[in-house]
Amino acid sequence: MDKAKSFVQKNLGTIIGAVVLTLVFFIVPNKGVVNAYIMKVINLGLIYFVAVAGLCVILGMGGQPTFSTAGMMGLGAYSVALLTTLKGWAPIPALLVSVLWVTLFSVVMGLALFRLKGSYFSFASIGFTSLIFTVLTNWLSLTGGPDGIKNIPRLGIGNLVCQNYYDYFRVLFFIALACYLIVQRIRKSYLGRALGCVRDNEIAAQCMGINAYRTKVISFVIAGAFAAFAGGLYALHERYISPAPFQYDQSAIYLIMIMLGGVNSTGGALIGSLFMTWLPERIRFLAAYSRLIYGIGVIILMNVMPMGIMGLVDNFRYKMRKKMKKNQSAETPVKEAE
Amino acid sequence: MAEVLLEVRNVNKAFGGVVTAKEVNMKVEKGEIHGLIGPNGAGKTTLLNLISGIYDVDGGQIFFKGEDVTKLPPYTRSRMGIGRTFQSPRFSPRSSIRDNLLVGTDLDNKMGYLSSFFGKKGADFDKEFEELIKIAGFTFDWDERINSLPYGQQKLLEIIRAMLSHPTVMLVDEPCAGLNMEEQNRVKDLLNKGLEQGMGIVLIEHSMEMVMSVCHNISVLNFGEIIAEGTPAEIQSNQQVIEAYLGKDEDTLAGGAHVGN
Amino acid sequence: MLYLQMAITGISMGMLYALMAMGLTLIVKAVGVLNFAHGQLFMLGAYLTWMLTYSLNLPLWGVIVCGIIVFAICGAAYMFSVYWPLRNSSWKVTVTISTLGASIALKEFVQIVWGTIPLTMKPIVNGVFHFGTVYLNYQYIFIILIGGGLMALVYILFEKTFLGKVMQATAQDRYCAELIGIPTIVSIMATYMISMVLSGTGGWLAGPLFLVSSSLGSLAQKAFAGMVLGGFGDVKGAIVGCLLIGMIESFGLIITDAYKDAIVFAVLIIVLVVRPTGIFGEKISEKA
Repeated sequence: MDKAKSFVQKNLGTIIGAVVLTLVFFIVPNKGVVNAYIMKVINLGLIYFVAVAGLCVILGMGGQPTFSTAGMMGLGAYSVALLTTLKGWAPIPALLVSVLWVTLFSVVMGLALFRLKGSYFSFASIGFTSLIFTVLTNWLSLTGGPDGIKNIPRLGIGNLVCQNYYDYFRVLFFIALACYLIVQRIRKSYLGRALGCVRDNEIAAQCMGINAYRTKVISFVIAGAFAAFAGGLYALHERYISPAPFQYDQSAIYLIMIMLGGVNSTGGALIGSLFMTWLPERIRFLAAYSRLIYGIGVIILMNVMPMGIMGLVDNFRYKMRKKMKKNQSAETPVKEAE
Repeated sequence: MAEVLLEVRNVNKAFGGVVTAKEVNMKVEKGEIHGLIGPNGAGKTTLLNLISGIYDVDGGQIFFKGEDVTKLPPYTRSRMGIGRTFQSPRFSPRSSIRDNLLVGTDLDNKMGYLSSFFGKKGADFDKEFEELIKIAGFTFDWDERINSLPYGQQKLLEIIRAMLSHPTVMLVDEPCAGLNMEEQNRVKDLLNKGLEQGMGIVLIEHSMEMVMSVCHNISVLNFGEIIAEGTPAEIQSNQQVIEAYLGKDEDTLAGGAHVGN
Repeated sequence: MLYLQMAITGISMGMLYALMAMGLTLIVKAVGVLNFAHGQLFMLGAYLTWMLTYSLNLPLWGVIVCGIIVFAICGAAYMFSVYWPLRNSSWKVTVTISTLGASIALKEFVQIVWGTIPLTMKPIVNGVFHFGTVYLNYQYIFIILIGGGLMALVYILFEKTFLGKVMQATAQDRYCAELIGIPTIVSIMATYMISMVLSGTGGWLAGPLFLVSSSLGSLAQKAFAGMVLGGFGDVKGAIVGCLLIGMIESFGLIITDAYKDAIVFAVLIIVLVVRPTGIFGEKISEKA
């Protein structure tokens, strides 16, 4: 009994999480709970989360603000679209192959871009995204230019195909969960720790046996792979793509998503991406003013909570814990003296 | 004679016109604490940076366990076993204390990113850490943030981090600056623990009392040149050192005053 | 002769980028953070001068005088809203994100005030300059003259005057500058003002060539490219880098029209791989 009790206590968070997730999985994708439009918005939020999860690694852990996300997503999305529509591949193999080649491509780009440091890396990553965007817009014979590619098949294997946004949600739910767990695992592993060292002091990191350049490139590759995957999912979910969502501006939105949620937390990234996908839809009635408010909101956000929502939560928990400890030690002053 | 772990041979370094190392020669043996003293700006920290590979040498060679490491990057050198601490502690303020310290164990385990992702964490971290923190003589809360720890504890923790990686040669840069007497003694204990494990230690320190009591050999740097070398007793009686390093007042040396900043 | 024409267009385009890049570099040097809203400040400059010229019907000299004043005010306002509250932030990325927010807000602001339809703006002197077989809009020549003159002025201001020394001191070490009694708030504000005057003027000059619209802001990407190409945090390097970008873009037209942007960024990335410090940048050893 005690054993079971202590097991429950120890894993209370995990158990609650599992219960909540199960409930979400069964309750949310129902017509009675959310309508198809909201479902679509949530799905997009989850897809963006996959890309932002990559940013968690490169920006959150490694401290390198990159604007390459949208570019990598574009590559992923277009290669999935082309493989499925032109070559007639099934969605899953197309997705896998796309992620694979974009990952390899990120190795090359990472090696090139990380020869630069800090701000200059960010500048160059803007250049990279602009380059991809220009190619996507102008290579008419292949990408269809600004018109984009239509009739991308639905996500599915064989006869198991996602028929509507609710089905998509059920798949994306697990994908997002897997991405979340992978990023959490990276955070707890040597790579996460090494990136933390590189972020805060590259020289100290080098003296602890960490190859800063290689580590940063690895984080770039991981971010690239996540972004490509997100791009592929985006293509299969929207079933129509054009170059517009893969512009530099969109990369900025991903950065804002992670900063809003909390740059040090994977859960924050999820909150940030869902919220930032939902918010523009919600304040659409403000029409022209919506993006103005949104922009000013970002500035205020950085002032009020630079570490995002989860940063705020962390701070609160930290202070509570400190307070509790203080109270405890105040109650037992004799012990303290010993 | 014990095994020579680290040898610096005719090393030169200049920044623009400022010479910070000029034909420096130094040997560190196993089980030895090698003191490196000299006035501010004498090139002590530069020498450590040259040894750990942060700066490239302009000329000369550095040997580690008989191997020429002059051209190797810093991370390879630290992986080979050159550990170090910094004048002011360099931790990641946004990582947890545990993550900061685990990097030391990771280095010792020669951990790879993939094996760490799929495998388990460094297993004997806790046991070893317990042992070291006992020597350091303080406890702290794992939930605490590293920047909220007192400066002295941070400095001790940095030495512990370096020791967790079991370096062959540990470069320690002014561990006692800003520490109280109690903490200085703890630093001494930690260094002695390192010696027990068979390290060679290079110690930069301004506290004469500390240097004279723990070092086996001392090199005195001034304007990037080694002006004297020998046991603490020899250094204490070396007229040249007294003049270069302490000015004319001989009493300060005998009295073990703290010189420097 | 076609080449001469291309060279002149290239240089004048490069000059526009350089006006932005110079301001950007000054800000980066002064406060150590990127300003991702710089293209939007450029665009704002174009809109503001449009307003001065067509809404207030000021003559040319009035536009210039009022323009400089308005730009300086905007620069200061920008600095106080986007940078100043975050100056003590432990993490520079927050300022970066804040400028991203500002870029979105500014882009929408001008569309709300002046509408989404691109506005036309007449060049300073109408007409086409022709010399042999070379036909050039006078505006290109004005861009080179005015842009070059303004940059020279700012250069003199920084290198030869007391205010410039003060700003340089602040840029190198804000804390020390404060210790020796420099009101850093003033010198940083001055940096932002100058920076805004530079990009605002750029916007004014670019207006007649491109139409005044919110997409003017995207020209900043070329300025970024020029900065990186030229070298690290160096004003001269940034200017030369931008002129090169302008030339590459202009001569790139020989090969391809659609991909002229792609060529610029491809060259940038290739140069960086070969020479990560930029063309003129020197290797700066980090302070260990």
